[in-house]
Amino acid sequence: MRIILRICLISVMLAHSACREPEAGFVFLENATTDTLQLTVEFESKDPTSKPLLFSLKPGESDGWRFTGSKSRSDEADSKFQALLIKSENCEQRLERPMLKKHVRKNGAWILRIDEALFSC
Amino acid sequence: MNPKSEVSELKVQGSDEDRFHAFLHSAINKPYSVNKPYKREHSSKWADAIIRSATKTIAITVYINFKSPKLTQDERLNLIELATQGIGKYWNREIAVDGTLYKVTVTAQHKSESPLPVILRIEKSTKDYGRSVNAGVLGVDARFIYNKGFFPNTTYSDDDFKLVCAHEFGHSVLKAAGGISLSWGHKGTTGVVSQAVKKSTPGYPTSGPIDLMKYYDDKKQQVTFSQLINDTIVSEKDVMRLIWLSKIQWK
Repeated sequence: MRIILRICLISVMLAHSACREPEAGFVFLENATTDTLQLTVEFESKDPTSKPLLFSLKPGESDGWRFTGSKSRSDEADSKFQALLIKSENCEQRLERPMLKKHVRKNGAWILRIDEALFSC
Repeated sequence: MNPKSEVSELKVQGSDEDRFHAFLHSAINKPYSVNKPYKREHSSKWADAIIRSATKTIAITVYINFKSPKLTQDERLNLIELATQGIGKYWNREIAVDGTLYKVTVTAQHKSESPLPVILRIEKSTKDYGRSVNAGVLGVDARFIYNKGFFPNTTYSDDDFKLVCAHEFGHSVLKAAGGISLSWGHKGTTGVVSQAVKKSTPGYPTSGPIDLMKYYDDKKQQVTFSQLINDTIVSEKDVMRLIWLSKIQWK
């Protein structure tokens, strides 16, 4: 009887660990400027055909992406996030990872606020 | 959204009903013979389908036993509303059966006797993302987690929860219609126990539909959160799997 209970318990535990969704993190970019921004997010990728993420944000808008990772690295924003190219009508700036790491903050999800302190010409 | 049909044509003789069933079974690799149902087809205690031939519509009702031991009544009602919205948003679609388009709607309803128990939880912490889970095993509680503290605004928390609920509900469909390997292995895109994406799993599509029940390798190709929310949809075959296990009434 004990063995059957143990098998049942192990099966339930296995089921729970097996179909739990993976560790996930999110990065959101917030446009805190007064311009519409064109954003190009570059990732380190193992696929040579992979393309950077391209999207635009109107003033006040935000968007981002989900990334999978391990809990042990939850103190780090998406490690594949390598560079960000920001373009507005009158300005263009490329931010590399060391600069991004300085400005991104964690509040649950990782948030990069693009304001005039970060993006100006 | 009306994605191109992913199921090839199959010509079958007989009544409309026979042709419908023969096509549907063939599309999801199930044996079919008239009046000899496979042991688990159309026997689910948690899904009913009404097929209206005249209007080419299929209305599926799925019954979920929503439990909420730690929530207030308002929180419970809000999460049930979001979960049902999510299941409707990502499971409603058109399917092509034997050359005919059917509009399928999936409506989730709370029913305390349902063998599909789900615990609703709110994760208020801002530290980690609460991971939902559904083994798809009847009688074993699934857990749908609303990440309240994690996202920068309520819209994102709501959108994420709706998508997660639709996906987790899908595990019950895949498990019932295709077994553990199909369900836990996310239709061949992850390991069955490890849940890690396989080497052969592609990155996200750069445009077009994202399969609700597959995993993609985000290290090969990423998508934006808004694409994930707006472009994800259940596949035609997974809707057919849900129809296959539902109790069907023809009208």
